[in-house]
Order: sequence, then C-alpha cells, then structure tokens
Amino acid sequence: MVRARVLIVEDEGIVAKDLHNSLRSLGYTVVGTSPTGSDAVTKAQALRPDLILMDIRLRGDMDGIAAAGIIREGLDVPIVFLTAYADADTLERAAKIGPYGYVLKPFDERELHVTLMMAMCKHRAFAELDRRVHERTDELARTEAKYRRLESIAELGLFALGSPDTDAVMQRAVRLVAESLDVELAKVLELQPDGASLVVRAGVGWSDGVVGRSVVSAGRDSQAGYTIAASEPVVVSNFRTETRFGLSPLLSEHGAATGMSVLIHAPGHEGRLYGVLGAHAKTLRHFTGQDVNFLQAVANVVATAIMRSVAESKIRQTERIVEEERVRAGVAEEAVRARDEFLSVASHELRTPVAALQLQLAALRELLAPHVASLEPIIAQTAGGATRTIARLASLVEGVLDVSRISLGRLELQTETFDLAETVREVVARHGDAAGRAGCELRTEAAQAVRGTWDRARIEQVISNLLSNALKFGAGRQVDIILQRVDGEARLSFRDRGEGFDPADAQRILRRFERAVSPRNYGGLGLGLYLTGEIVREHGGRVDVAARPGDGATFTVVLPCECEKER
Amino acid sequence: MAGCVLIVEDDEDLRDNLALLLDLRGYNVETARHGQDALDKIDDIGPRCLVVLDLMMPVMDGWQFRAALRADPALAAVPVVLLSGIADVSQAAKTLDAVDHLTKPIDLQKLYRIVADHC
Repeated sequence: MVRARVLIVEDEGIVAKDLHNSLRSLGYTVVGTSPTGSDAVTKAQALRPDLILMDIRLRGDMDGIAAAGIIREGLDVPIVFLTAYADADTLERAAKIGPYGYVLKPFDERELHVTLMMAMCKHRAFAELDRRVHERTDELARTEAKYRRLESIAELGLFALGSPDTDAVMQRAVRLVAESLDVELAKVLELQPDGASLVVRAGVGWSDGVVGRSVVSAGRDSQAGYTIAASEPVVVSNFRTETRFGLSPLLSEHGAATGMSVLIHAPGHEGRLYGVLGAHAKTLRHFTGQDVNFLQAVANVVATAIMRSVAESKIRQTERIVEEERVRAGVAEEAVRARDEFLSVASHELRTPVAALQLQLAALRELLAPHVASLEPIIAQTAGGATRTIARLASLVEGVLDVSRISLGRLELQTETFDLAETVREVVARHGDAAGRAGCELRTEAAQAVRGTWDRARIEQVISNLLSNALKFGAGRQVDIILQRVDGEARLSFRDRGEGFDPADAQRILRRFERAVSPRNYGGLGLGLYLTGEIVREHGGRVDVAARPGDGATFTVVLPCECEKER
Repeated sequence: MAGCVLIVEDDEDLRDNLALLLDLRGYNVETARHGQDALDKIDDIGPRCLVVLDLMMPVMDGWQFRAALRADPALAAVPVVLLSGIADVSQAAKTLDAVDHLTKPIDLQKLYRIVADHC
C-alpha cells in the first residue's frame, strides 16, 4: 500500500518535530511542515498532500480554521484539526469547514493514528459518494436533454398537424434545430425537379436573400449532394480536413466549420425524396449519434407535413374535379329541362293552329256536303284524307306534349272506376276504319267485365297506341286483342303477325325515341310505346313484350284491378 | 229564335271557322278578339246565351274577362264554356265556374252538344 502523504501545519517547532516523528513511525510520509496559515495554503496547493494535520492556533493573520477554509475551496483534501483548546466557539467555527476529525494536544500517538485513519477512510467514502452523485447527475442531465428534444419534436409534430402551411412548419423546424443542437446555421434544401440542384426553402442564421433563392449543387461535390448519393446521414467534424466533398460557397460564406445533414423522405411527393435538412456550427464541435437521430426526427416531421400538404392538394384537386363534374351535370340537366320546357310550350302553341286547321277542314266539308253529288269524287276523298292527317298531326302534338309532361313529372292521373272490357271494345270499334285500310282483321276477346280504377282517357290512349302499333307492323294480317283476369291483374294483349323483332330489343323499344325497326321503313317519333309504358307504370302496372323475328310481337299491358273484390 | 253565341278567341282562323260552323247550324254568332273586345260587344248587343272563352289572350285574358262577367249582376249568370290549349283546362273550368270545357284540337261533337244544351 502506498503511504499516505501528510502536510503538518504547526507553529511550535517542538510539537511539529514530535508529530513528524510519530507520523513516520506510524507509516506516513510527511511531505512538509508549515508554521503559518498562509504558508500552509501555498504548500497544500504545491504538494497536494493526502491529508493535512492542522493546528488551530497559529502565529500570523491566519489561524488554522481560516487556512483550512481557503485550502478546501481549491482542494479536496481531508483536514484533521489539532488543538489544545476545544472551546465551543472554536469548535463551531471549525465545524463549518467540515473537518474530518480532531486531535487534542498533547496528542496520544494511537489516538492520532486512529483519527487519521478514520479521516482518510471518510474522505475516500465521500469521494466515492461524490463520484456516484456526479455520475447520476450527468445521467439525469442527459436524460433530461433527450426528453426535451423528444418533447420539442412532439411539439413540432403537433404544430405540423395543425398548420396547413408547409413553409411555416419548415421555418419552425429549422429554428428548433438551431436551438436544440446549439448551432448557428440550419436549413431545409428542396431538390429541384431536374435533380441537379437544391434550393434553400427555409433557414436560420443565413444572410438576407438566401432563403427562397440560394442554390446548392446536388452533385457529390457538396455535402447535400453527397448525403443524397449516400442516402444516409452525413456528419462533417471539420470542413478543413473533409475529403469526401468540398465546402459549398454558401457554407463557406457563412463560416461553417462543422455540420450534419439528413434526407427528408416524403413518399407521395414527386420522386419521394424531398430534399435535405442541414445543421452547421461556425466553431468545431462534436456531434453525437443522438444529435444525428434528433436531426433525422425533425426531418421526418417535416416530411410528414409535406406528405400531408401533397395529400391535401390532391384532395382539393379531386374536390375541384367533382365540383366541375357536378356543375357540368347540372348544366346538362338544365339543358334537358330547358328542352322539355320548350317541347311543352311548343306543343301548346301548336295546338291552336292545328285546331284552326281542323275547323277549316270541318267547315270546308260541311260547305261541300250539299254539292257532293256534283263534285269530282277525288275532292271529297281528299277532304276526308286531310281530316285524318289533321287527326294524326293532333295526335303527334299530344304525344310530344305528353312526353314533356312525363319528363317534367307532370303526368297526373284523373282516375275513376270503369269496365276495361267495355273500353277495349269501344276503342277497337273506333279503329275499324284504320284496320280496314291496313288490311287487318281485328279479333277481340273481351267478353268478361274487368273493373278497376284508372284514368279512362289515358287507358284509351294506351289501347289506341298499341292497336295502331299492331296495325302498323302487322299490316295485312290478323291482330288479336285479348283481355283476361289473371292472378288479380288485368292482362290486355295485342298480338300482331308482322315481322317481329329480336327479343333483346324488347325493353329498349319502350324507351323514348327508340324503335326496333328502321325509320326508313316506318315513320313516327318513336314515342307511342314510350308513352304507353309510362302511363301503365304510372298506374302501377307494366308492359310485357314477347317477340320473335319473323313471327310477330305481343305487347301485354298488366294493370292492377279490382278482380279480387269481384270474385 | 236561334240562340246566340259569343266566341272570345284571339286566333283569327280558329275564331272565324268556329263561327262559320255554328252559323251553318243556325246559331246567331258574334266574335271578339280578347276579353276587352268581348265586354265592348256585350255593351252594344246585350248578353249572349253562351260564351265560348279562350284563356290565353292579349289585352284582357280569359281569367280577367270571367272576373269582369261575374262582377256584373246582369252578366254573372251567362254560361261560359272554356276552349283552351293549356294543360289543366279542366281545373281552370272548376276555378272559373265554367259549364264545361273543350281542348284544342276541338271535339266538335262535344261542342255542338254543349251549344245545343244552352242555346
């Protein structure tokens, strides 16, 4: 064991000599002896003893307690007081210094040894305790710093969530980097679409005009470019000795000595890589792994804000497209509505001249009637033909008017309860002339009464339409009209033996302006079947179509009736 | 004595031919171009046994003319039959307390029946 080195402070020469001898015999090394307090302060600094044995009463301005106080300020050394007077006042002053023990004069050698040993042990224990406290304090400080950084990243994240402005998020991010890492320069660089350069988007510590304008090369010759190429964080401990890349003019102008850079990855942003986040100090310093992690965490928050901004602008774009589509659809709807309104007004306007023409012909026929015997037959025939033409014209005008009513939702039924069989027979009878002209034999099976609540005029229109249709497409052949009650429904069928059509077209022909045959062979607006379908639908019924090419067609009107009640 | 009919209609062709057809059946027919014209004619020639009334007309339309008739005790009881191309002419007939209504084109048999009933 190394011998403990002791400094003796004692103004009485004999006592000092005595102590010296005792300590040596006890195995200590006496590094010096001081007769005064001030000499003790000087020697303690110079000799760095392991222990000081200090007399309280000393000659000169400075007594032992004062000297001990000064020594302890600069040196962690155990001090044992040596005194003949242990009055309360002195002890109290001595206690404030934090002594490691007292030895009373005249001293006993064994007591001295025990006291010194205890002092040394206590000091070692204190030193160990002290070291541990320091260790824990440092650890706590490191944890606190780490926590503060995490907290500041969380705050930045919250800010980014609440702010739609990416520039504001970036500006806050670079300010956070500068404060937390204690660096003078921080910046966000945005990679340009050509991939050749980066522009400073946000920054702290740069001269006016740099942010938003200054450009840095994206090649491997710059730190930012190298970071992109390496695709990982880059730390520069000293630009003077850096060999991987050069100091960019921008960093050079601002006196950067050292720094770090990390990538800002923003999936969703064009090309995924947004740019580089950099932190630079003007004096040399060491960046830790934690510093790099912190910088990367900030870059990730910035990336999130960018991704959000990209997503939001995409959403806004989509919303704009949807809105435009909506407006376009509205315009189209409005156009359709305008057309239907026009048809409605136009057909109302047509009604009056058609009526006038009808009256003119009626008057003409009446005026001709007394002279019919003396007239050329062709004149009477022509007048009769003109009357039918007027009827057809009137029916076309009504058809167009009905279509516009349906599309404007104005088809209103005026219902009453009546016998459909009777109505069928009446309407068929009215078509007797037309059937004769078409060369068709009409065969009606409607003997049994079928009562129901319907719009009589509309149902007559339906019968008339389907009958005209059958005469038109089944000309020269028999047409069957059959009324039945089946499963609580009225079923009225019109069977022609014309050329028929493809069953695939069956539902299509019930639509507006549609026809199963070529308009070159058959005229008409293609409205009759559409109107028929709509009127029947309005009654809560349906029109079934059965057809085969070359074998005619059967249209069956199915209407709800009061058949159940009658049974 | 044959009944007398007043036709109030702005379309000249329709008005004249209707007048001709009724005239051919022996009725005494007067015509007017619109409501105001009709009121003037009634002042001159006295009340008619039946008024055939169009609704959409310039100067004074059918609704205004009907209101003027009903406001005059001497004319309120004159029967009116509507003749119109508007969609809900049957509804208008109820509102205007018309004896009947005709649509355009005209069901002539129905017209003759109505005129015969009132004149």
